[in-house]
Amino acid sequence: MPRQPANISKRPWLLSLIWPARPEPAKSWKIARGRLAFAAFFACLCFGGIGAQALQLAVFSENAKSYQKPQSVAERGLIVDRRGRLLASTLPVMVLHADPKQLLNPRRVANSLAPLISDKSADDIYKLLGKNTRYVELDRKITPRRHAEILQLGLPGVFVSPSSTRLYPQGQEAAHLLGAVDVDGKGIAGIEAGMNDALARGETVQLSIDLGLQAILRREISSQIERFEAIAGAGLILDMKNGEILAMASLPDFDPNHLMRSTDKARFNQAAKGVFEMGSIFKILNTAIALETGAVQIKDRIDVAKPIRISRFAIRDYHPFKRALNISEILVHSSNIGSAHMADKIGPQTQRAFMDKLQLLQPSNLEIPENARPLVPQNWGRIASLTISFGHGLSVSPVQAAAAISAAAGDGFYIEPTLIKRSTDAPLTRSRIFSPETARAVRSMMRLVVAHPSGTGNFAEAKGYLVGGKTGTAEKIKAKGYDRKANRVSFVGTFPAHDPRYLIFAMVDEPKGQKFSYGYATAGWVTAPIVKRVVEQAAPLLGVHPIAEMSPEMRLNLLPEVIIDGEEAVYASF
Amino acid sequence: MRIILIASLLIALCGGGLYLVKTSVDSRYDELARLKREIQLEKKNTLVLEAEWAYLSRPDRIQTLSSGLLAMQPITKDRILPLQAIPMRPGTSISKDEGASGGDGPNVLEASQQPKVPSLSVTVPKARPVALTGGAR
Repeated sequence: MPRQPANISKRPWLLSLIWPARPEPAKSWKIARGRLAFAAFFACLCFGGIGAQALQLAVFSENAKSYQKPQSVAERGLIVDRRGRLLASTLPVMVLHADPKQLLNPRRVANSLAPLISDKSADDIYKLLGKNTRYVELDRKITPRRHAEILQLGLPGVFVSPSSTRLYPQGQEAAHLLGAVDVDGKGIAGIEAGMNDALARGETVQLSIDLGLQAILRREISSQIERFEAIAGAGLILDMKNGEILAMASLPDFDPNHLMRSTDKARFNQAAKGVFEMGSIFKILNTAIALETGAVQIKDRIDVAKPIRISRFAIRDYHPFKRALNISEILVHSSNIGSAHMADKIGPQTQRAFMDKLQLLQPSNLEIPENARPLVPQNWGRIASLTISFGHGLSVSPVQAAAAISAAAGDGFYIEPTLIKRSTDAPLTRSRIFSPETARAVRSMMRLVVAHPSGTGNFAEAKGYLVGGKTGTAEKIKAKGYDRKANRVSFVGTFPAHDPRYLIFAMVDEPKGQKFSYGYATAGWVTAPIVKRVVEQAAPLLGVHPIAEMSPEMRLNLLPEVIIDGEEAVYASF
Repeated sequence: MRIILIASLLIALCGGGLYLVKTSVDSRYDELARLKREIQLEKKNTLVLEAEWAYLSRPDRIQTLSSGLLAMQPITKDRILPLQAIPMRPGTSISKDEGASGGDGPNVLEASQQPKVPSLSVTVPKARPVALTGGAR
């Protein structure tokens, strides 16, 4: 075997290290063992090292994971207005609490914490800390600075833990609508309760409400309540084209951030939960039904000289007329006798059927729990039908009344009102109740209530915006029948009258006659000006232009041949 | 024997690679968690700031501020005009005016020519057309 060593010497040194030549058998056995031992040792080292590292990592990462607590469940969703302005939000807060068992010196702890807790004295805190429990809540909302100061004190047994609270940054604005949540963050009233599921999932709820309009409406009703020393009020603004409620106010109201400080009366949402006899504003519906069914024609005249006597009741007029009035005059002068005669021609059955179609006989369907059940007469006979014609005997909520009148004064469609912003591409369900001709006649008459010098709603005239409307003054039901002195006055206005887009409803409870109103506290004095001022402020926000005097479109959309007090009516008086 | 050696070497390499990947994944998880915490914190801060903004811009506060500091009133009917009601400037004069001012060079407006702004009196803006469609629903 002389070739072998020669071969070895031929190979390059580096290659021989990786791929050595076959050595002599005796030597190779030794080498093989050595290599085997080396390889085994190295493999053990590597695998041992990796294994140990892996084990350590696995154990360590288990620990590491426990530091990353799963994030808290979805925070309650926001409530925003139609333009995205924040109405309700959930904010993180720090809760200060203590474990009395861990306290070393309760007296000292109480003394040192007292200056840092706003609404509790040192004695109060001491009393709390003396309780036989493991958890005492000292303050729910502590500011970051207080938080830092409390940590600086370094008191054992006193803890600060994160929590959250529901905040209503707009305060009293839209308080009834928003409602409130309980301590567990569950909605108990208003949208908070009605949309609780969506909010609990963390979804943002966008309302149809416009905060600006809401503020205007609330301010105007509130100032009129003050001027006339009234006890309460309510109002709403409705988009007649799609049923969205743009503002809804009920006064007195409350601050939802401090729900417990409010009274039951303040928490009552009169606009949706209250049912009232609406008074003369129901004459709009009566006129519309009479014209729609053909019970009367627009030029018919009805004698209103004599009061109607039916069993023990007598139907009288506030301003008696000694002559026959036409249908427009009955609405413009608000004649109870005329309306009752019209109801007689309609008949109770038909009247009831229309009221049903206008959703006045069942609770409204707003997205809040506060939907009032209307008070419907048990026996809808002749007496009921005559009184309902001028708004007595059937009690409905302002929301229901507004939606029904929107059908009569708008395009003749009933659209279910809503508090949630409608998406523009979603189909709108609306049912035709009145023909376009009826609606045209009704809105012409409503315009005359405001525009005609002898109309009852002159104070609602916002120049340029063509307000149409109807006053309603209803005596309140007291212990024995109706109380002549305690009235509930309301006004329903629409604008612009030739193509009504927005409906404004305002109601004031028990206004008292004032010097500047010559002792009057009627709807024309109290609520009509609210509508005027709301229209003047809201129209620019809503993009409604002032209308040119007697423009062609106005002539087209209002009846030209209405006769009031022997003269042809004029719709605009600029 | 060689095959065992090569295989064990490969396994060792794989192990080492796996270890590197795992540690880098772990550090990325940490980074992710940190970012998530940061986002959570920022969201909370945003919520607080949004609430604060809503509180500061609530209508009754704006009303109080405006009635105290600004002499603003609801826009009356006579302040709103349709766009057509504004007479156009004579067509030719527009380009001529612009050409003239452009040719005069940059130092046209001297101190004496600058419009005098009274320091204390309130300037009343002239009635001008209000955009009716902007922001309207």
